[in-house]
Amino acid sequence: MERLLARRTLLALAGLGGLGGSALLAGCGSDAGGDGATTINFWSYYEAAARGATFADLAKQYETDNPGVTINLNLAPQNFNTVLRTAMLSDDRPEFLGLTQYNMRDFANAGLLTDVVSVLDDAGISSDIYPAAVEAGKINGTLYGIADALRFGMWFYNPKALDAAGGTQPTTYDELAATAEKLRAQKKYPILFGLKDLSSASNSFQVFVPAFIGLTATLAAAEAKDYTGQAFVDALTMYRTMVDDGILDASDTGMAASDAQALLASGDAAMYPSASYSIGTLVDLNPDFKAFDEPVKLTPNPVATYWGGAGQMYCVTAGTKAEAAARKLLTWWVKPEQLGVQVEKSGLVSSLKSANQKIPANSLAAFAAGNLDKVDPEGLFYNNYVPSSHAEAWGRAIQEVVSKAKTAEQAIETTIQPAVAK
Amino acid sequence: MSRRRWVSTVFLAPALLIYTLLHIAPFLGTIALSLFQYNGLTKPAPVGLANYTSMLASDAFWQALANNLVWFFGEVVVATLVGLGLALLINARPRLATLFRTTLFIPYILSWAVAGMLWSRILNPAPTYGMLNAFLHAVGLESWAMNWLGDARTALPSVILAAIWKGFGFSMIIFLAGLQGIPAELVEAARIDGAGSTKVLWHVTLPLLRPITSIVIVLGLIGTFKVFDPVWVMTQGGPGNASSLLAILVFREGMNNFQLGYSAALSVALFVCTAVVMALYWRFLGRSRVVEDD
Repeated sequence: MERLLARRTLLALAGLGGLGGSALLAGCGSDAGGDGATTINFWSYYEAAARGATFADLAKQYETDNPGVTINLNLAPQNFNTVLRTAMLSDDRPEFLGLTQYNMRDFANAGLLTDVVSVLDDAGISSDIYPAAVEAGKINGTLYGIADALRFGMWFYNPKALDAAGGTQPTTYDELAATAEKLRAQKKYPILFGLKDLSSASNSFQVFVPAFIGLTATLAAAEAKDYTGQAFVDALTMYRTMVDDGILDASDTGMAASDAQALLASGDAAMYPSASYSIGTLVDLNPDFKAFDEPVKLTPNPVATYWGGAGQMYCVTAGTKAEAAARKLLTWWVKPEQLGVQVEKSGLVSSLKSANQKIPANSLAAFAAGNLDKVDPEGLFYNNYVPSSHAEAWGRAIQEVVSKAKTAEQAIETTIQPAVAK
Repeated sequence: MSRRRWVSTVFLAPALLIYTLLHIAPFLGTIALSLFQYNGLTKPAPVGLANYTSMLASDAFWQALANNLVWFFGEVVVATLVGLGLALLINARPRLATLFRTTLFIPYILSWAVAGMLWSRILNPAPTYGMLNAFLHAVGLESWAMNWLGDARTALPSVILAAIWKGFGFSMIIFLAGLQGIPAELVEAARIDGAGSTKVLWHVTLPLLRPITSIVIVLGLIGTFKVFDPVWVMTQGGPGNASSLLAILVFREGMNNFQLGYSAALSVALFVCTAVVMALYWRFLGRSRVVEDD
């Protein structure tokens, strides 16, 4: 009997434990309700190290100005895309998101995001925001995200290294090859990308795409899942040509992006074609980094000379308890004051003209912001609109071409096409 | 049903239920998922065997499969032989055995995150960073310096080299345990009969180590198809697909590209490969051992 009672007690305790656990889990939801307290979960792919302090300061300020609101920041957890995708399918979705454009597109197509067009007027930024930033957030005419930044294609260089090779900024491919020869003679790497990392490899493609392909043809190819056109072969062949001409080193495919950047900072390498999003990292490594006044014309008649793109897209998840609160947060977050703080603290080139006025003069960010209007529609390369599987396939193809494992045609036929056809 | 059988069924039921939930159900679910196209967000679309036909037509799949075989012969076999050799040496020289055993076992207990970073630094192509290339430059062998992890010809062998360094400690310890279990009388009897060291090794030691060798090889075989972290840390399967293994493809397609149906098809292929290899092993080596044991 005593044993039976003990079992009953155990079952009762287990039942109570289950109820208590359920209540605890319910309490972890976004909106506790009743007392008006609201929790907004804010997930961003920006790493804590890069923007974390600024984001934490802004979140704290918002919480102070809006009693009862708590913002849970979740900055770039491991396997961010996978974890986010899983979370977005659960009943506990984060309400406020900082996404890449391809994630935004996938989530919007799955009906997980809400239209945020009214935020432009509510935040008073309709006439302040660059039109390109608005276009970047639209899918089939609906605005699902507001870009925090615009990117400008830049050819960074280490002045110390380039001065040792004559200090002249090359403007054409032939001049680039001549500069590379001088740098080689001094046992320096002319250009490094850090192609071992697939993100660097696929991002580096942005440098070549505008010259050979342009935005329209790239997006059309992504839609048709067909990258077999001659312009794509030419763009990929450019990597091989640069290796053959001693501009790019085949060893780049074995180098991590961080190692490549460190070699650039030390002067062991001279040039780094990238975009304004690299400014913060490079300047932290070496404040003397500069950028060419004009990009190198890789081909005599490029489709587009200048290129750009959009940064992180701020989006609101549809159908959550805290959707209204998240929309209110978005309205506050994208105002010039808030984006201006990010401009001041992280070298961001904002999507708002007024916020960019806070950029220190004569800085690399000021150079990028001042040249944004040169990026015509054909040169605004929405790299993130290309599905991640396509970008990864391009990254692998670039590795194969630079390491001379395959020709451009072979890489497109055997690496890119099979990957994008699935 | 007898009371005894009923009781055993009740006691086994929870374990069976957990095993079914955690192993059999996901396995069947994976097979089912492989017949769909699914990106994790939109409704899965049935595609029949399309994922399998895509897989069989893919160069990346066949290259990964070939790389898995290279990994087996390059890593498992070599690490086993190195481990055996070191175990024989340490066993023959009891002096400082503990020191050598511990020192040589240390790489095995390192995580691949650490070991991979270490070897990536050693094999970095820049002479200012990469210790191996710096050494080759220092001794006047610049022409031997290579882009070890970025060249399609050397990427996989380089990762295998790191895996041998990290893995031989395991087989060494197992072989040492086996060697210490060989009765000294057998060796002494062989020596009295005039056998030299080589004959003792071939006719006494190695035959008696056969069960241990089987265990090491079986574990290595199973492990071959599960290898993921060394390649992911050091090359991410690159350049291109030059160092991709099946497990890398499964992860990349599922977690990076969100082709979950295709990734499931690759997982099924991975299972089939492991099952076939194990069946072959037991068919040819397992049976002979049983016959001998009889």
